[in-house]
Amino acid sequence: MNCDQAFDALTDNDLRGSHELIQHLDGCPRCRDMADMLDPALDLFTDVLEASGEFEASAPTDNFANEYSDNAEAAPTSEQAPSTRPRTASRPWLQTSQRRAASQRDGLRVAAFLMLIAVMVAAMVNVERGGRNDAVAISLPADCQRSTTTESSSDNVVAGCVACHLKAESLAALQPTQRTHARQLVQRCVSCHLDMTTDQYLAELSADINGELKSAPSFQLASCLFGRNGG
Amino acid sequence: MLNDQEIMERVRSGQVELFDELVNRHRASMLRAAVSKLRDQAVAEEAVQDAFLSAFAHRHTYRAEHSFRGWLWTILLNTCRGLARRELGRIDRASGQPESPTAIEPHSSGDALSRLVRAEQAALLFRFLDELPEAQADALRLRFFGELKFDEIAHAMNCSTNGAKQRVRSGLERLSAALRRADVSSIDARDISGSNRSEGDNQ
Repeated sequence: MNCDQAFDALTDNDLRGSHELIQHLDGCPRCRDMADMLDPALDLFTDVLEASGEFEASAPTDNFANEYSDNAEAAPTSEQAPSTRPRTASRPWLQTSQRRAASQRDGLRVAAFLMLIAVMVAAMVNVERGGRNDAVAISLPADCQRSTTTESSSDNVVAGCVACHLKAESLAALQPTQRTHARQLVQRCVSCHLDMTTDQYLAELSADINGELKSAPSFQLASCLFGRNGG
Repeated sequence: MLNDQEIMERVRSGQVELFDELVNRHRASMLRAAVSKLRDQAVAEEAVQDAFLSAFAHRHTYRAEHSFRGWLWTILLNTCRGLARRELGRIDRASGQPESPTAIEPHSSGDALSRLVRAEQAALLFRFLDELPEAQADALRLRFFGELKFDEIAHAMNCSTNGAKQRVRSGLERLSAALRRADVSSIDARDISGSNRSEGDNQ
């Protein structure tokens, strides 16, 4: 799953708690920040959708087409709805009170079951996130944060990730466990965004600084990482 | 099972009774979105009915290479805008004051208080959606209430897929920021109903 697919999943009620998404968020601080930022709105949508079980349960039972096929010509003549249509127009698929009551009872059962599942999933996600927060003892600098105004290319995302987490001075300053985590973080970042290994990426950076690619976007990063100015 | 496009093809070729299946599939999500946009259950039901009527009447204009849902939701959004204008005019003529909106009436399990909180959450969401730019609010409605894919949203809103994603993302960001400001994230029907039950147990 890449970051684009992660956003799709994050905004999909069925996929929001998926293992794939959680795995991606685990390895991508940028998406994790985004998920945390959007959580209040996503939670509210989830709650409201759960509460609207009445609409899920109710379904049209009368024949729309049969009742309206004779009146099709009287129907709106454009995609714009007719403003003159009386508010008391018949609604062929509305439920009778008995059907509505029955569907409401079904809706209650479904809503209760869904709520139980949602609570369990939310609890699992919270546990996962709690554990992850403990593991990530590295504060992310501005380069690693999600930008609200511009979309970074994959190269820029990875460059920011590598610059922060693999830069020699930063790495040396970390505790051994944090260092291992930083390496794992970068491995995931590179493999997800650039579809290559960290070694391959570092080799490319090295080639940049040794070759004639001083105009390449990664040149400055390579200079920084390898402690040379390329001159 | 036939997909929407296949059903629509058959409806166009004369099997009009199959249109019922399309109504069955999409009515609930369309009604949710319409309620959130129009804030009135009766007007929202009318909007959904008009949208289906319009889709049925213009079934011959549907092109199978496009998503049926995108096409249908375009009609619904247009219908909602038309009805919103009409309602606004009606209210202006009647009293000059808008009627208090009828929010969605959630019907879920739990006690009266949790139902009340859920109704409050729905009203809150609809109010914040109203405060967003219309394009962002509609994109959120299509994504969450309609469960449309981003390319379907793009088709319904006449924008690019990336544009649709950006609208959803920007809308969610604003909504989250507004919720944080309002400090309403603590409203949780489950917590409240749970604490009520605990109190009841203790007594």
